[in-house]
Amino acid sequence: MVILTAEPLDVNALISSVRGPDCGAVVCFLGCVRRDKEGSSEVTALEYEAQPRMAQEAMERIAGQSGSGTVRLSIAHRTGRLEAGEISAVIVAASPHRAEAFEACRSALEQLKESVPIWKKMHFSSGESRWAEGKPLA
Amino acid sequence: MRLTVSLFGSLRDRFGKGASVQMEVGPGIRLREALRKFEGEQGALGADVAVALNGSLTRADPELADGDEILLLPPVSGG
Repeated sequence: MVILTAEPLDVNALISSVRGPDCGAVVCFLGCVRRDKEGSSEVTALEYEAQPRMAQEAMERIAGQSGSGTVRLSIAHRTGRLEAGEISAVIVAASPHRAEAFEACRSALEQLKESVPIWKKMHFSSGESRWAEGKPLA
Repeated sequence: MRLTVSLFGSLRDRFGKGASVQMEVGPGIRLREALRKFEGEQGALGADVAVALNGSLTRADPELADGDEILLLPPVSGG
């Protein structure tokens, strides 16, 4: 399951989409908006923007490259404005054994951060805002 | 013919534009020449900006057609 949406992410639905009687391990990563401090100001919200078609396709590629073939992956990412503490991304990996599930989850997250056209703007308590530095699209 | 240049993330703020810019170009223009024209009119793009044509990343230099969309994608920061 691959989801790019402005709506809150349903973590349980994503877990259910990969788990099954063949999987002894399910690893779930939640990316959350962190209230970073910068001087006397702090991040109050992040605003996510995506190129929807390319982001969906890139996430589907990541989900399809699930290592050994015994891993099932679901990936979801939100767009729009999220307040500190809200869930921005979910990656769920299920496999017969834990090592593959941990590895697939971590690998998918790293790929998500460098190969999916999504950008975030940081909004600060001072009222200022600026785009986060990112990684050149691979 | 007319091209659409779509801007994302920091590029939109940097160029002070909306989500896209329309460009009038001559027939037979190639992608890299169109990008140089854009840079000449709007300002330089960094080497870290990825380019997509009609939704597909490309490093090639294809000939463009009327209605093509060039997407300028700055470094990404999802997650």
